[in-house]
Amino acid sequence: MVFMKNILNRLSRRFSLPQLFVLLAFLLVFGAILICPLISLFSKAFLDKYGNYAGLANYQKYFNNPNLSISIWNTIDISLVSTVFSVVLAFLFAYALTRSNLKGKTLFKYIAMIPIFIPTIIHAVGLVYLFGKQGVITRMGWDIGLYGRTGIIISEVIFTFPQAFLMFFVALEYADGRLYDAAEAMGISPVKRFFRITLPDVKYTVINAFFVCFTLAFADFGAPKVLGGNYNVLATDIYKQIAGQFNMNMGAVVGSLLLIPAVISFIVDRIVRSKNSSTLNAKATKLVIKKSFKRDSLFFVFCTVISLCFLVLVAALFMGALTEYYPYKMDFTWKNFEFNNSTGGIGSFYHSLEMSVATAVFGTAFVFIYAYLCEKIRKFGALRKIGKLFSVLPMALPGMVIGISFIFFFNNKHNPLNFIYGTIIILVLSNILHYFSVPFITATGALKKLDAEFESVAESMNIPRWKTLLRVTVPLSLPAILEIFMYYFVNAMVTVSAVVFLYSANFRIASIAISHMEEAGNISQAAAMGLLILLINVIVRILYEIAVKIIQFKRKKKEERTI
Amino acid sequence: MSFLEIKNITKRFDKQTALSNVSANIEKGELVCILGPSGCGKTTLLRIIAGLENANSGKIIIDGKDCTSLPASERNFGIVFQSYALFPNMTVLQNILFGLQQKKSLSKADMLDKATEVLRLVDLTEHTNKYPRQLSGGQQQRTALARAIALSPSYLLLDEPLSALDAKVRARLRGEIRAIQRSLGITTIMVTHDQEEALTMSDRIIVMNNAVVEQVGTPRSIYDNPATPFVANFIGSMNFYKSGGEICAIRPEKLIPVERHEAYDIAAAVKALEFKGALTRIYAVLPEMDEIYVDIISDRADALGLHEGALLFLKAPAEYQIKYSAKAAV
Repeated sequence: MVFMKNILNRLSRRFSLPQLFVLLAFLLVFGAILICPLISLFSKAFLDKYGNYAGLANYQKYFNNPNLSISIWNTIDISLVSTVFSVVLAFLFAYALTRSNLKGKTLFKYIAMIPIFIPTIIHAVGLVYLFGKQGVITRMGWDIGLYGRTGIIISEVIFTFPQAFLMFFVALEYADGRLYDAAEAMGISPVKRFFRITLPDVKYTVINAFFVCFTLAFADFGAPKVLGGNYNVLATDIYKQIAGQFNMNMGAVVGSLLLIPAVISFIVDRIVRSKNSSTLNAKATKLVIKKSFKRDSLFFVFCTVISLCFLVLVAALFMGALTEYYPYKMDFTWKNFEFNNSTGGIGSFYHSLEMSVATAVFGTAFVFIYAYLCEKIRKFGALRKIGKLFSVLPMALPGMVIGISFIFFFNNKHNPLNFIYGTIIILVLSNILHYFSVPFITATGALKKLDAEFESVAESMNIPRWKTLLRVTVPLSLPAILEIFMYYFVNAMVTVSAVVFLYSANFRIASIAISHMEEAGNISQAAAMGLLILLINVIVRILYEIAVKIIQFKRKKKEERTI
Repeated sequence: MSFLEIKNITKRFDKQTALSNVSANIEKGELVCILGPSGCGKTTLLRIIAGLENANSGKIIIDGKDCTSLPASERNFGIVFQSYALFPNMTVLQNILFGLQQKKSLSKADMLDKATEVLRLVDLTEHTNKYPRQLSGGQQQRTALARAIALSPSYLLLDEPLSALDAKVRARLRGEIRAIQRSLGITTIMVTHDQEEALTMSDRIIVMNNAVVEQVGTPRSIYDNPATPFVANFIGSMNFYKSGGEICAIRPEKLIPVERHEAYDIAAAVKALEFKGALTRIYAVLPEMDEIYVDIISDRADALGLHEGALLFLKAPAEYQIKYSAKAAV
């Protein structure tokens, strides 16, 4: 017996079996949640109501019904227009913050990020307070005709602006000062410098931002839900097919259409990434921004206007949430924070917190270990490649698609995992998958910065892997881990699209409750709930910033103390 | 039987062959350098000896035991990498204790004793509570060495341990590493691309090029009798010239300039003179257009009245001449 055990031990260590098993387990789990639901989605699209193979009949039916297929053109229309606005404005905003001597850069940067901290459905609610039938601005005599195309476009611009802004900010932050100095010495005009140096440097980011914004707007559910009116888009169509008419097969058809721009965007991103790798030169000098009062003043005005738009939106939410009955009874009140139980109540907020903390805790642990396995194991190159491929796929999956494919997969009597359907587990799982790609990149980036020989040295000292991971890798990657935690938390707090299909009546979450409040006409309660979400997200963000500062400070102090 | 036997190791990465049928023996207690230009496979060989990489074929036998597929954690060696790979979140002492804590047989006091002992050995007792970033390059290097020997490994592997340091520190550490190695009597294998390092530090050198072993021997024997033109050229400097159907090689310092009327072996035209202080280097061209150079005492160069275009007469003592077949191109 002892002899056998010895041989087994020996064998397992010789072929790194523990590592192989952990890697395989992670790949299988992730692969299963990623791929199986998609297979169920597509198989549903090709079946009729009774489960018989229907070929392309569902698609034919869809395209032959003008009431349905018009949504495709509507969706392309609003996505295209909002993307153009968003990309141009975000580029200018990021350019102002990176390439001018504007005052208040940090403040502008955080204001530009406000929309990330609230659900898209709340952007729409804010717009209703400003431009709706009884909106503040409408009552001042300017009716923009919010409901329908206009409202959706404005809302999508607000939604996609921060995403594009952050991409441009990172891209524009790095510049090779030598190029600009040389160009100036050669007498090349600033305008020409912009078109010949700056723009070519960030052209891939521009392309990427365009596709990211387009995909986000294309699949967004929150804004069209509130502002759409009779203007149908694909995301609301899916919801109607599935939640309204229980036509699962047609829902699957629409879902598969929703994947198209996401897949294109994904491919573009892959191509762009491979071309964009060698931009930063180690010898690059920092770009010194010249003094220009005219340029700085122009940008200051621009940034102030954009920031005011966001601040006014938030102010509108405050106004709605803190008054008795806008616009008729403008007395101050807290009563809107006493949420009706019929639409979810305050309990939905606690559920959201629960779900977001669970998503952040399990998501961070899963992503980090997953990235560690892909990055720090020496063997099993082929498996690790598959792992890396899996990790980028969620980027191409809109939340709605994840939502319906999860229903098809998990709400199946024959699925042994059926029991998680309707529980918090499925919500957390869908969030971890939905927002997986960005944290994976963050984790991989942090791990790549660590010396590849840490593991080798530890191995030579016969220190087990898990101990090296806990004592060396994790402490050194703490800032990245916190960033991932925050990213998961904030996104889980605001998400609607995936979870709208997956929540159950006894576990309602805040973003869903908002949509129910809005449906029930309790718009002031919706605004109040939106503010609570904004508040908690801002607090988490501040805690994150403080934690990072503390880590940096501690590291510094540790060194000073012993010198 | 040797302490460590490397038997017919072959290693391929995708289509590239990093090691091709490499064999060598290493004796107990000696310091052996694996020397070669970058990309010759020397680091791969070290990683295979460590168990951090698996060979496609061949065997590694340590102390009579076949260790070919034994994982690194069971081979009982210490290793120092070029980057040192010190854990930046731990102090010097913690870095050393991290490995010691793994030994269940040691008590806390024993661990501390052992750590103090190795720190004394590398002369770091004053820096035990510093973090790696607060140390100089040389101190980091010594910390890595202390960490590697703390577990009393049966052999020590050094991967370009000095190449990240500046010239002065490097020269001093060569001596220190050698002294520690001798006092511990620990079998040590060191990878380097620096021939001077290999010559000054090792008992024996394994010269590698293009995935194969070119020559194994003591520094002296390799310098005096390089087995191939590559070794001749890579270690020290060497003049090559054609003579009969063969290629002749002779070290620049072995050529003796003589007066025109004395007996000489080679006549050449001076192409350029390079005054280097005590020595002057003379570049010259042979009638067959082979270029050679000679280092001579500067005063002697003056006495010979050498200048560009002048004729230079040289004696090439037969005992210092090495002949290679014409096929073995440099």
